[in-house]
Amino acid sequence: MIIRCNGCEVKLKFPDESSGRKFKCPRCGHVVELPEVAASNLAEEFAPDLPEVSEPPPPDEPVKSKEEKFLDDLRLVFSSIPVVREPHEFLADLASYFELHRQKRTARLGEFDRDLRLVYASIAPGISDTALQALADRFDAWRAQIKNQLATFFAQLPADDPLRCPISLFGVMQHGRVETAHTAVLAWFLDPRKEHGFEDSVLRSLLEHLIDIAETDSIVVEKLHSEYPIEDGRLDVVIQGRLNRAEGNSSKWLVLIEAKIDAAESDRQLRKYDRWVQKVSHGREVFRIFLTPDGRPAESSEEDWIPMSFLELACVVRKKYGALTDRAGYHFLRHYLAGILKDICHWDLPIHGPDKCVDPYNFVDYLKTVHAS
Amino acid sequence: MPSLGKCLVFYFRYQPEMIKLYWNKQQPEEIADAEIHKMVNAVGNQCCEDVATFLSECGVIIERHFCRIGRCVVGKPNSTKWIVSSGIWMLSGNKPAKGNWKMQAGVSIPRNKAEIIPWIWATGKNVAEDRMVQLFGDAVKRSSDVDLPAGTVALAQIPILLSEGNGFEVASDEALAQVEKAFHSISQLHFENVYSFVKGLKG
Repeated sequence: MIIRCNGCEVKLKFPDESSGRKFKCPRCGHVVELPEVAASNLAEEFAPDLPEVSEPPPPDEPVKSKEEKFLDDLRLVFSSIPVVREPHEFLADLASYFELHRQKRTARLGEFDRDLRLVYASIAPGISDTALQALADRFDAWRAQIKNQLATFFAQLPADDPLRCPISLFGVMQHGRVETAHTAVLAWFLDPRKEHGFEDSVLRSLLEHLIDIAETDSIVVEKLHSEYPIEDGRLDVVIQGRLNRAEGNSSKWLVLIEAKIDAAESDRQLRKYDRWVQKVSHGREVFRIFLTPDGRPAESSEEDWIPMSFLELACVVRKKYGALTDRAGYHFLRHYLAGILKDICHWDLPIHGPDKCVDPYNFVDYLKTVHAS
Repeated sequence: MPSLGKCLVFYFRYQPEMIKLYWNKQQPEEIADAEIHKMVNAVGNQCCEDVATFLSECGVIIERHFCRIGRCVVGKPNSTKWIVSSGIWMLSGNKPAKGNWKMQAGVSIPRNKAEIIPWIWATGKNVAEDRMVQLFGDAVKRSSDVDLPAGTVALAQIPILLSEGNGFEVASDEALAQVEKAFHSISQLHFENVYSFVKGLKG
């Protein structure tokens, strides 16, 4: 017999002998009372065409949902396990299991990492010991050649060279690496109007480092400031001037020097100076110098800051040094240069021979300048 | 454990030459050989990779120590500046805004000296430095002694021991152990003392 559930209207099929009994609908759980056979035949005859579902379980078995069956199974399993362990013991075991699992995983990752490296090493173009040794031999030969040059240069080094001077100007005052002390004195040397008596020698040497200048060209300084305030910062040295060429024409220039010794470059400092330069340069040729112990490039500006090391600066000044021996500021300059080499370049002054030259290449660069001047 | 790598050992053995050719990109007439420059670049690049790997391990050490005595966020190692740094703050305090750290811990390898420097930096430049020297004792070095920015103290100067002879291998286990020891010398008490002191300082 086929009847319709009153709860969900699904079409249910029962054996004819079940007539008159009660069942739960397998879909919605509604209790369905089966009519007598004659009535069911009538119902079948007029039943609407509804979807059929599978035959329900025999009427004498209790109907259980999936969840109920699962709970029954779970009770059965748990009843078979004797409860002999305390919860904390169980948790401790669980923790050790997880720890073991983690260690195994880490070990597997370590193995994977090692294997990956091995594979990478086997396919990537590696640097063999033989290749390194070949490069080492080449460098050894180069270093030996430079040391020979050093010996020659040292033999010609004047007795009053800053390299032979044991006293650093600022080192004595514990200011050997104080930026403001260095740049204030540098600005003083660069100013032709000051009492050192060098006239424009130091400034000329710096400008020669930046542009082509003939002996006959004259330099006119219009403004020179150290620690020049710009917004909330201070630019170490600002020089504004003119270069009058011997052939009659002249050019205007602006030199900015920002020094960093132990301080890090701040995010916006150089950009702030760049904005200021845009406002004041008025068609002048602008030279921005970023002065550091290692001559590293400036990172915080998009403008062209020229990287210069303190050693390069010492070389620039040293070029004119020999011609200034009779001037008022000569000894002051000697101790200033000795201070740069000693406190900023970490050279172990006084140096009388090549033995104390840790980096022979830098010494050769300096001594070449001495030799050329 | 990561190895410091044969290229790095080579680098420090020939540091003046590598600085001139690799970092300063100079092409002196004595070394006018394209193959040599290619090789120098390969060695230099490998050094940067090895240093970054080593500094990552140092970063783990920093994180382990400072997450125990305070709070810590370690950044990625900088493979060209050869430095790893982390922002550190007190257990009880709030994390400072980005770029406004009051204290940092890190490890540097100077490109011109074969040594590893674990350091602590605090805002306040020399004032902060004086405080740290006073607290941490004679074992620490001032920033000017190790060419680090003002406000930094070096907790140690760990030499990278270059073996004599022709070999180019140096294990890093011992170096890492020394880095760990250097950071362990900073107690929670000292850390919190410095942090509280520099919290209101600038620079």
